[in-house]
Amino acid sequence: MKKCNEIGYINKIDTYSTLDGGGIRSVVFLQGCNLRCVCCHNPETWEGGNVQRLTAIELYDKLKTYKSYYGVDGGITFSGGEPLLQKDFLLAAVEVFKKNDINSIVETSANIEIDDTIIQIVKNLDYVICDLKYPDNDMYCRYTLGSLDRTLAFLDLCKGLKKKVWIRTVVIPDINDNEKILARYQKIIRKYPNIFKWELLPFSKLGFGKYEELKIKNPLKGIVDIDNEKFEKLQEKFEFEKAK
Amino acid sequence: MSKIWDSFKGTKWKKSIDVRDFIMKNYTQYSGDASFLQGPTERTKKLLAKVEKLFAKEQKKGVLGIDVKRTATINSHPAGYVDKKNEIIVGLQSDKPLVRLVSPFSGLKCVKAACKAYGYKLTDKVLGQFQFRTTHNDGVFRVYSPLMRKARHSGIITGLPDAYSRGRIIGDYRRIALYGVDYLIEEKKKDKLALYNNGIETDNLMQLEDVQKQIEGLTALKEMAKTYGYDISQPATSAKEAVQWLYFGYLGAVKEQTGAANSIGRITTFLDIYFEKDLKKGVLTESEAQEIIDDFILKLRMVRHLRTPEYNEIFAGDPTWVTLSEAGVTEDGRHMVTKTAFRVLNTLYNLKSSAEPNITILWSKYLPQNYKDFCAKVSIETDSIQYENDDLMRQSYGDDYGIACCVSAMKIGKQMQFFGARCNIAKMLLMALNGGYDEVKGDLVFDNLGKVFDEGLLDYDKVLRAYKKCSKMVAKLYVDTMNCIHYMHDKYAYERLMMATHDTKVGRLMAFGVCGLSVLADSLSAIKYAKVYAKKDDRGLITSFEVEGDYPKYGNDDDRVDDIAKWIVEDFYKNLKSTPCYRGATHTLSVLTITSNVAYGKKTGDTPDGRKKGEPFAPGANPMHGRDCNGALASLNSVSKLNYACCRDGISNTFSIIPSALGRKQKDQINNLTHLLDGYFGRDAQHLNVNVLNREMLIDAMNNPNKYPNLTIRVSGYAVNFNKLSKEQQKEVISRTFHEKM
Repeated sequence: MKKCNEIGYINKIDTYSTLDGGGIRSVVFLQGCNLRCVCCHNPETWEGGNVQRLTAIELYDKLKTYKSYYGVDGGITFSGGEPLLQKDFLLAAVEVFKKNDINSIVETSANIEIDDTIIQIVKNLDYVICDLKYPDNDMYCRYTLGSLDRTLAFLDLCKGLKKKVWIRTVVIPDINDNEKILARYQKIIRKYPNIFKWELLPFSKLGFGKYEELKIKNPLKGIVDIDNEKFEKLQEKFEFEKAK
Repeated sequence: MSKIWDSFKGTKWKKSIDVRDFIMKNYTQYSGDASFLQGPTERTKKLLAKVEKLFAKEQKKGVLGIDVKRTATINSHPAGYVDKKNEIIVGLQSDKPLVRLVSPFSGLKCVKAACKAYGYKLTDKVLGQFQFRTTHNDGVFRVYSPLMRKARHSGIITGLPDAYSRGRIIGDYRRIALYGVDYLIEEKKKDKLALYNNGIETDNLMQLEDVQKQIEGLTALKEMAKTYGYDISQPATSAKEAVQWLYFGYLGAVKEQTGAANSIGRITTFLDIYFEKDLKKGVLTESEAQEIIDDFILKLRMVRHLRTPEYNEIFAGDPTWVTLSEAGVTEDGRHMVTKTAFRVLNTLYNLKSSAEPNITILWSKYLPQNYKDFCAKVSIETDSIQYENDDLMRQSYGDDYGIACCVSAMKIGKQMQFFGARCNIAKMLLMALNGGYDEVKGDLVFDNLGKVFDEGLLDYDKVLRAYKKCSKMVAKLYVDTMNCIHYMHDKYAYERLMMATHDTKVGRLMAFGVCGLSVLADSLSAIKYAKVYAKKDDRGLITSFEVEGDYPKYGNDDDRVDDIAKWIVEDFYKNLKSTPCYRGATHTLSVLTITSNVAYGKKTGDTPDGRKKGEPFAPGANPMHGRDCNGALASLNSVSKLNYACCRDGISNTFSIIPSALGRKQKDQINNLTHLLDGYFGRDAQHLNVNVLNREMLIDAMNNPNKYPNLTIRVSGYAVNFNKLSKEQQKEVISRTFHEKM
């Protein structure tokens, strides 16, 4: 194990979630993100703030007690922020959990440089949840600080490593809530046989309060929630799940 | 002896009463899924419609009727029916459905008050019968000491069964079906003769009289069954008879005994033996089997007791706690799930969701996955069942125990309980700070506790010393008080029929309880880790606190405070044990409030954790509302740290979660709920109530009760129809932590 003294900057740990991967999972929200997505739910993870500083071993000690709840499907989800930005810590962490028979997944937008550490991380994961935010670089640039190319490079890496991927896409009113745009995502997804699931998430205003609290300008202020019926239709048409 | 016995395996149970042996030798495991289950028949639907009409009428009026003309005993009333020709399992407490009986043996005052509250008056005949008869309530107050009265008045020990019947005894009604009443009478006669060898002295005389009363109870039961056209002197010979015999036993008991929580026991594996036999013989179809169970469960839902409004304030929703335990694993590792365990759960669909009977799953990691999945589905869809850890309880109670009330385990037919309500330990801390004064009423309760604390910063060590001293005094007083109560209950309101279905040499558990655990743990944590300043009012008593800084709160899996909570119950249990119990009973302790957390909160002043005077406590062993903020698993873990070894009467935890937080699809929700239970119980936790519902729905139900006639929710240790809760209790339920994940 390398770099086990590496410090992780953690915004929050939620011991219980069933929505961030399969089974019962504890979610570790790592601090820091490079994308500034307009639809972000967790702007508090962007920078600074009250963070816990833990080594991988300390994190493991905190969470090992929940192993009995995880069952075969559950485990740890590293989310954020962008978890891959703290790659040295993350590698140490996923290795510790793996060594102790707790599986880890990462929820990422994958706008990062790929290097050896990232490759090692991916190898140690049960699978990856990857946000496919927008189907082209133009849209990606308009609504985030990142690019589609980087996400695709990461998906190529997973494909090469035969690592299973679960894709998530947030459907935002007036931005990508129509069949025509989603068909373009679909075209990308079909190129990757290692993608076993595509999940659409309805954009929700639940995170809006945080923007005000943090005094961050909310670019989507004034937006309306997505129409339920419309969203369900899109789900029916595009979502899929295959056996892993 | 009986021909029916020849068709069953085993010999030991044929030589002396041993229901467990009969079960172990004859039951058929079922590991399949729920697809064999049948829906309600036309007959069941018709009968249910009739009963539902009666329920609706009752809900409007409060009670459907009170029979004030007769003192209730086992065979005081003629046979009663809902719809005679359409009933499969018969028997009602009164000659009319849902009419409540008066049984003043435990206390005349309560019965009078309850009658008055609903516009009834006891007849001169009944009053005359009790003019020269001592009730349990009379007896207790003859011997209560001045201190006991003061403590009772202050509410430091509270909810005591000193004016009403104690309940929480599980008769082994299976014995009636398996052996027939005559055999049970013969065995009791033999026991009585043998008792004479022990000499004529007080304890043995008491025992002798008890056994004679038991024989009289059994004889009366036979008479009662006869009024319905049944001779139950011999063993039951079919599934229908087995259910009927067993139900008669329960019915006889609840006609005479009005105690809270007269539970029905662990019956499904036993009954299933008869069902399997009839199904195999081809004399019964699955639909008919379900129909018998449906009819039986419907009868259990119709059990009623006469309660005062004060009682309802503590135990909301008119509960009877007909607790029915099922599943679990044998001592040699075989699961005890049968088709009848499924059939009982299926009544929640066939007869719709309901609070009674209080279906309790004895959960083990060794239960078949199909059954676990079905339980989870039933929980998600009905919120009507609770879970208790069989792998934990089996170590103390073997594999033929059942749950009485909410979380109280006892060996069926071999142990009984002296129920003892609870001590308000949050108030106990305030009493320690106030030198024995009641912070609300201002009365001096304990006059040898020392001085009232000074104003200003509270010193943890000093507070702890005072608390320990107070805890010792209260514990001693609590045991003494319980001894008075149960001596008098045995003397004047003995449960002759329930005890007739127990072994004569019975084990006794004296069940103490605490409420306000999370408030006390957080209060001590605040004093230890933050700065708490005490302030006095114009009476010179400490009645408010100022908290400066943050402190670890129970419910976040933080050992700093969880260890305090753990210590509190261990310490109190140790203190209780230093005073012996009446009749050699074993001390047990529960962390359980039922719905009384609202009422007890009302009687408790400001606490050092920041809770204000009158605000509800959290129920049972739950963390305080909204203070558990590290997610559901952290909250569960905190509760799981409490030590069952010193809380053998149970540790209640009510878990509310919104459906989407269990998973997106029902398949995932079921899977995740079973993992959650496996995980929680894998940590040696004892009990979990599961509510899967939205807060918005509860608010809507509060405002539009007619839209949700069957909305059942789990509160501490039992289920209740949401509409039957008071507004205050509804609001408290809504304010609880709902685990959600955005």
